[in-house]
Amino acid sequence: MALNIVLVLLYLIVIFYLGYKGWRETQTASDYMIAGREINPYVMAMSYGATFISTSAIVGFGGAAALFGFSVIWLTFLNIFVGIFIAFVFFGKRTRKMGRRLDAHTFPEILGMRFESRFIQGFSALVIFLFLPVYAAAVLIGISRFIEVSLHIPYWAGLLGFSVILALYVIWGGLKGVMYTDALQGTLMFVMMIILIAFTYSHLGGVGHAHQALTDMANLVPAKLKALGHMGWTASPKSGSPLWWIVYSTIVFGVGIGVLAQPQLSVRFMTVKNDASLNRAVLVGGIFILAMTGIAFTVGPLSNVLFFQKFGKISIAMAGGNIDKVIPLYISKIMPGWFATLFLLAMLAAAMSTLSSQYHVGGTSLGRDFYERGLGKTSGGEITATRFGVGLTILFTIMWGLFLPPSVIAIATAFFFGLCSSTFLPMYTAALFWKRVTRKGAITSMVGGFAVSFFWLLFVHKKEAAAIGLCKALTGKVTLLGYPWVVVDPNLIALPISIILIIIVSLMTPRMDDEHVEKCFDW
Amino acid sequence: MLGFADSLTAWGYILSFLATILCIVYGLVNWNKGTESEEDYRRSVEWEREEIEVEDRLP
Repeated sequence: MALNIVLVLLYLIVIFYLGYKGWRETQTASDYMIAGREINPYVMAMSYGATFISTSAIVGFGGAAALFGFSVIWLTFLNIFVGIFIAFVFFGKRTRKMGRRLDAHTFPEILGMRFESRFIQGFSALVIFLFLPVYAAAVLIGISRFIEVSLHIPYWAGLLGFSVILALYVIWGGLKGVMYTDALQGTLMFVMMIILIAFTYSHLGGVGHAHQALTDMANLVPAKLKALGHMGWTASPKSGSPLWWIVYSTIVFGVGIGVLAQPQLSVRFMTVKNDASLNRAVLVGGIFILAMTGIAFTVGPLSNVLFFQKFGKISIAMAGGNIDKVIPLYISKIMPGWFATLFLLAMLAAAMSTLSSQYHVGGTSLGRDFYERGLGKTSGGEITATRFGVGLTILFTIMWGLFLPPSVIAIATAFFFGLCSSTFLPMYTAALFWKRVTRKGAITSMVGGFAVSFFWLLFVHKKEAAAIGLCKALTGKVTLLGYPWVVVDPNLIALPISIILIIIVSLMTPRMDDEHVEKCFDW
Repeated sequence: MLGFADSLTAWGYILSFLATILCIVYGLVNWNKGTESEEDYRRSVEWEREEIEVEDRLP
């Protein structure tokens, strides 16, 4: 315990030092600019990977995999194929070039400039600023649950303590010098995950034996889960069952596709020097993501076998019904003590890198995109607005972290990814690939996708509609539609509508100025 | 297959590895493709200048 705390403190000192070093280097601006930002592909891929993958993916989705089973592994496939390959090769290259051409520095800005619309920039920024804290809270909850289990500190105290340390890190320059820290944090996460999978598989007699042992436990699935469509941890849920919809529409599709329109990830493409760096980053990124979510979604289900062998209980019973505690418990109860300490450091790293980039995006969304460009205020208040934005994002994240219920990490993450997907993805894709798209088409798609998403959440999707209660208050019914619609993820409805809107409205409205469009695509 | 109870889940597992192999092969084949032009470089420097201003506003 004392050793754990000493190691955590030592680690934090190193991270603070690296953050400060990065910050110092941004102060020597002229050298920096002449050289261009020499980010090598390893650092770029690690930085993207460490921003993409966090305690949310490892603790939250790993815990969800422990409950739902190996079917969640389909999300790993999408994380690699869509989140790395398609994102880097197709979206990344064009985002980088268009970003340079238009001198855009944030996600709302590239959209606003491509469509020559302050409304698009302001509206996107506001959506990000208001809802990003829900996702950031998922990351914060992940690390706080880890601290709770491994350091035996109450959840709320861990959450507040970590937030204070992170706030100090941010003030120390942590938002500016992310290159060194991300590379270090990504590397640490990678090494720990490899040890985790090697230990788990070797303990269970190899890959095939481990999976078979879990297959043989299908009779231990609780009756309540069986009724929802659970067919065992190595099988897909029953086709069309509530669990099937949750796994495939919310977790796999919502998060797997939503990654393409993540504001904190797409800005990473703009910092890359050339296409060759992106090509090389595909290699590093693919391996990194397999080692992160692939291992988390494998160890999650297999934790049932090890917990059952050692304690006679399946994972969800070990965690007292809170899936967010499964992975922390696995690390502290099953893995060796030295590993648990180092893994805690890796999780601190994962949370710090993702949260700092989220705070960065929250701040620039409010300051640069909403206040300066959206509202058109340029009298110097944008600096205050940016800092105010960072502060509010931190505050909202803490509040969500304290008030959201247990077992919420995966759901909160999927909410933000789904919302970004239905609000931004058709517009962002068209901005990069379709010269005929018009400003009105983009606005209709953005506002339409956002509105349909929220309508579905408040009036149809039972989990949220029942909890919020607006539908019941207005119509007397808990939801407007019946099964299966009540378990269909909002994104699965809102994204197609958003796509249809952008195509139809663009074709019905006059083309954008040819000269501007040519400028956007001149690379 | 591979100790899984159904083939759909096994394919999710296998495709995750195949997608990683695709990324590795793509990265190796295109390792040196896509270097920047003079114009691209000039824009990069301009972009960096503005980016530093953006970062300066952060706490």
